[in-house]
Amino acid sequence: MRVFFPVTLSQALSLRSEYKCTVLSGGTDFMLKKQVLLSNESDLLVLQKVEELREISVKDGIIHVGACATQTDILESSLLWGVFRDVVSCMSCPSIRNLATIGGNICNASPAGDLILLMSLLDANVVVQSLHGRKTIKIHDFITGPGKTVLKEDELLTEFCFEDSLRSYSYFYKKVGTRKANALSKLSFAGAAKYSGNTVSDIRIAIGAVAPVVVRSAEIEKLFSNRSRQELNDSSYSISKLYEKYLKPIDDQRSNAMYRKKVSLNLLKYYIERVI
Amino acid sequence: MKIDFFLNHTFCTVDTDPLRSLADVLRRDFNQTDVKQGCGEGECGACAVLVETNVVHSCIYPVVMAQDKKILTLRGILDTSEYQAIKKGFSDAGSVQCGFCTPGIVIVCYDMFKKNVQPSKDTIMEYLSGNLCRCTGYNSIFRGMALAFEYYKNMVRR
Repeated sequence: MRVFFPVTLSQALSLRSEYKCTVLSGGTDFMLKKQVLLSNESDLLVLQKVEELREISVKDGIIHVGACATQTDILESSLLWGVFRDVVSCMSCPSIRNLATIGGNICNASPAGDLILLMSLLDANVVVQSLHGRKTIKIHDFITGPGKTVLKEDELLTEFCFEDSLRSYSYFYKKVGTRKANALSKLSFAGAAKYSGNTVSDIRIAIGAVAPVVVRSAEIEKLFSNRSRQELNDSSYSISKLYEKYLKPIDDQRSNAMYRKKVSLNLLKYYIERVI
Repeated sequence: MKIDFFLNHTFCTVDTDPLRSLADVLRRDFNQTDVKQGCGEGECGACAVLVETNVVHSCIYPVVMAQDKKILTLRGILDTSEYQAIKKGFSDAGSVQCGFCTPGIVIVCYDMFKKNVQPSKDTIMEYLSGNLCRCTGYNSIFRGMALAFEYYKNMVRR
């Protein structure tokens, strides 16, 4: 096995296209799954020295988060707002957050991935680069199922982009797990709302770990945008009925389907009736 | 693969599988048995070490990532004033029972001191959220850390 330590993104891209490489970023999930992830002939591409992939910056009203930004980087960044702290501080523990990267969390494509839920709520775009160029993919199209993404063998996920103006929304985040730290989500719920006066001009709802991919419905959100709080409150039952058909949870070692469905619908009702 | 790093201020080289865990390499190849191997999957924190300025769980840290880095284990901080304060704080509060989790917790505590984190109960609990202890029920550890911080402040003031 050969191990490559690229220092720049262009080096990383040419190595990725030239050799059959497994990409190692933070390594926290990799080490647990290395037998599965690593075939015998595979080389290793270690991204930890590519500083440009760790940057968090804002340009023309768009926030760019490098794929190798660690969870600690996200937590400490002054460019990101409260909901990032809410989400990241519920993930693992400080010593794992020092290593684990946002790109790793998204490429893992776990239905329970906490940052996937947040990126989905923010309608983030994923930037994928290869020697042949750069393309931008919507996060909903990037992740196709549990553990599955559209990333090809010669491509690298390099950054996430979303609008800076989203900081003006009000956020609500709730993760249901066995303990506050070091637990994977049984399910997770995030909501965002933008107010103009007493009217909710935009509402976003994302539910994680209840379907193969994060549940978000632009259709339902559009239907209930530009409503007053009272109107939303009155329609909480019908909203939860509409979401119910999207929830297809499974039984696994962390929880069971019935609990996941019940609790996510309860959280949805709580969000609409009490939080908004 | 040959990997070079600084272990407790000493330059070291090891020729090994790049995906072996750092905990395994430190224990077997360098006899650093103060780095405890607990769960082996990043849950318990008994294997916590400092890599540069960050605490990491060395059981899920591939040794290849330690290339050119400075690593500190408990043995590397024994001469520091931070450690003296932690030692006194922990023994006064009875924070150590079987002691298996202690090296990892001491490293986390040392990191808190180095980063000048104000040790309120909440921050201590957050910092220690990656370290499991099956003996103490944690309260004596929280007390020990708070006491250690007091001792440390007095040492620095002097």
